[in-house]
Amino acid sequence: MHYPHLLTPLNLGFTQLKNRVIMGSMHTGLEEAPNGFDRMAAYYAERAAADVALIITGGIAPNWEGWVSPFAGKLTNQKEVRQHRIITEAVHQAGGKICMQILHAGRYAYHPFP
Amino acid sequence: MYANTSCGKVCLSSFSVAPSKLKSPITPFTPRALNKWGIKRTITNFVRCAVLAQQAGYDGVEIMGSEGYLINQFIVSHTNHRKDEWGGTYEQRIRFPVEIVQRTREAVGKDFIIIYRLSMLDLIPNGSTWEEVEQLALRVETAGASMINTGIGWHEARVPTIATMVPRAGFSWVTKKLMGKINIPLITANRINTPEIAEQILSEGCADLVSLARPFLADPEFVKKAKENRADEINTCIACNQACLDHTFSRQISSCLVNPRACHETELNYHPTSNPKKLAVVGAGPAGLAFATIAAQRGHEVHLYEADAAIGGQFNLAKRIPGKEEFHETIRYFEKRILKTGVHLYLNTKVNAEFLLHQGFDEVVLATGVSARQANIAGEDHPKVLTYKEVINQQKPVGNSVAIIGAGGVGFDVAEFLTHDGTSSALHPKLFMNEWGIDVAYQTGGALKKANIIPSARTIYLLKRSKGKHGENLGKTTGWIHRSSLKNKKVNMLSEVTYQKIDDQGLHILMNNVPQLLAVDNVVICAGQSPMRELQQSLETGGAKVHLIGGADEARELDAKRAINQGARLAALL
Ligand SMILES: Cc1cc2nc3c(=O)[nH]c(=O)nc-3n(C[C@H](O)[C@H](O)[C@H](O)COP(=O)(O)O)c2cc1C
Ligand code: SF4
Repeated sequence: MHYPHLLTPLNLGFTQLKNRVIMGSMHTGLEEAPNGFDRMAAYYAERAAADVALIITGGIAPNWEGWVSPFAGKLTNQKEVRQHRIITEAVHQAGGKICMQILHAGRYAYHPFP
Repeated sequence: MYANTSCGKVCLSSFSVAPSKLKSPITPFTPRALNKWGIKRTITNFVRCAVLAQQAGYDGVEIMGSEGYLINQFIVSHTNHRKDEWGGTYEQRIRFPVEIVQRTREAVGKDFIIIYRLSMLDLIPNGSTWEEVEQLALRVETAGASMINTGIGWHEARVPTIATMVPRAGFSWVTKKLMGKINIPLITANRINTPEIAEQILSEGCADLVSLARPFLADPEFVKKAKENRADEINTCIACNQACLDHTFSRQISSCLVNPRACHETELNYHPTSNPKKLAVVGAGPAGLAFATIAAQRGHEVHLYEADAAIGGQFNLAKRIPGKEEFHETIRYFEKRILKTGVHLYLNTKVNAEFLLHQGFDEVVLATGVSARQANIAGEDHPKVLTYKEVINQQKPVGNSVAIIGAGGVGFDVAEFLTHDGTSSALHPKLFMNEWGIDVAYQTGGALKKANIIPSARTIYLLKRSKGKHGENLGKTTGWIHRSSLKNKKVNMLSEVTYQKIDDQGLHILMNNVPQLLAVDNVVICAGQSPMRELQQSLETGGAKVHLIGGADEARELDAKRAINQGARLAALL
């Protein structure tokens, strides 16, 4: 193997990561875009299919006060759960794993209200 | 880290919340301090969010505790002035994250990943001390985290932490300090952009895992290519931030300068063509390279003509600028793609319209780039006047005092080039840490110390005609770094300059209508560029179908992002 450390699986007990490479969290603006969930599904699934061990989504707010940008992604109710399922199903189908980042911006929050 | 977030008039909001009513230096409004009830509710919202993520099918969550966001604001006394049980001692300030992790674990059960992103190096005054970082890591582990990820620098930190002048894996030493102190796996991050450097830091015991963010925008197949021993085919993230972070901060959808498909996967695809054509591409700069390799990948017969002895165009300028060495990787990537996709490459070949018209091409793509514009100053033909190409590409001798005319991207690059004299801190982590005042001995909270700058051997004037701050049109998230870097090197930045003439004495200018002489040895002209497209007319007259891409189409600034995107999109269509 060319990168023996990098490509060694990691056992977390209840689950295994296939190597040591994680795709770090990036808020890309797809979170707020029209068709954003379909687009994120395609974007993440392509990376999952190419063997990254674990993907972390861009920051998603736990409530609207924590928004990084106006109307940014948040996950607070069942309707939003259904949307996120588009992403997780695509990534799992591609053989990958994905964690969602929870980010509350605090004083860095950005609200458009006058 | 990214500082410089500006925001229009409309966002004077009082809806943001924080541990204390303290405005951040990079947002225009003051937050409301959460009351105790608000804190409890926020913790409950974190937990609810994790539970919903589990219901949505995620394998876990990452709780964002770094970069100066809410959790980080609780942890650090700089932003937490509370007198109640959520402030005061360190133990009380970390109660907020510890309760979030603990209650999340209780709610999601044991078979769910919880990563905690821990700010291991705040890079702000009165940030966490190393002892505090260790203490928090232990508490987060006990509270039920599965892994700990590394966060470096608050957004408001005045230190570059991800931009291209940061050495590769430049912060893995921070994560390494925590190795062996806790029992759960540790993830290191920032500027890890090749499998070699990732392997190296793992083998040195800096971490158990690596996190790569932007490199997955640049190439979705990073891991696969590494696995198949095709690392030389990886499209490497050059850490320019131009199409990712700059977009996020100007509220556009992110993409990637070297890979315009990133975040546009449903819309931009390079499918095999059903109608193979014979195509000529003139110019092997970023636009021509992107077009040629993608068109050939799709099955077209592509002939690529380059007048120079090497491919790369403007990247050959950029790669020589201290702190921009990563551009070498893009050239390497395209060299490899040319071989893989079977582009017919002709170097040292200047073609004319007649030649192109007689080769039976279906279409001709002009990616001939730009020519440097003159500044139209009296004495511009004086021997002390140099073009930026002469300085950077041809490395002509340059004296000890230099005036640079034009303070756009190229002017900044020339100034960086002339103030560094061969030493690039991007390649020397120690030098980088000193230059930006990062205390690797971690003697204070936040790990800042006085910067130690190697002075420039030259006196430099960076001049512009227009009003306002220098570098305002550079990248949103990197402009401030270039500006500080040149300020540190004592570059004289003058605005609203009227140029009068150049002679043996130097450069004569007017400042506020007062004549001044800059007694410089050399004057370098960076006054913009014009499109080179002289072939267009004769080709079209001869009946050829012609496309213009890159600088040949639009030359306002050297804009590789636009060039590659345009080349790729045309190649996807033809
Ligand atoms: C466009 C963009 C968006 C980002 N958004 C987040 C985010 O939502 N949450 C987070 O923890 N980090 C975010 N980051 C920081 C990355 O996770 C990562 O720490 C940083 O890019 C350095 O790693 P890299 O050199 O591998 O890209 C973002 C970075 C970029 C470039
Ligand atoms: S735009 Fe630049 S920094 Fe961002 S991912 Fe692409 S190469 Fe990396």
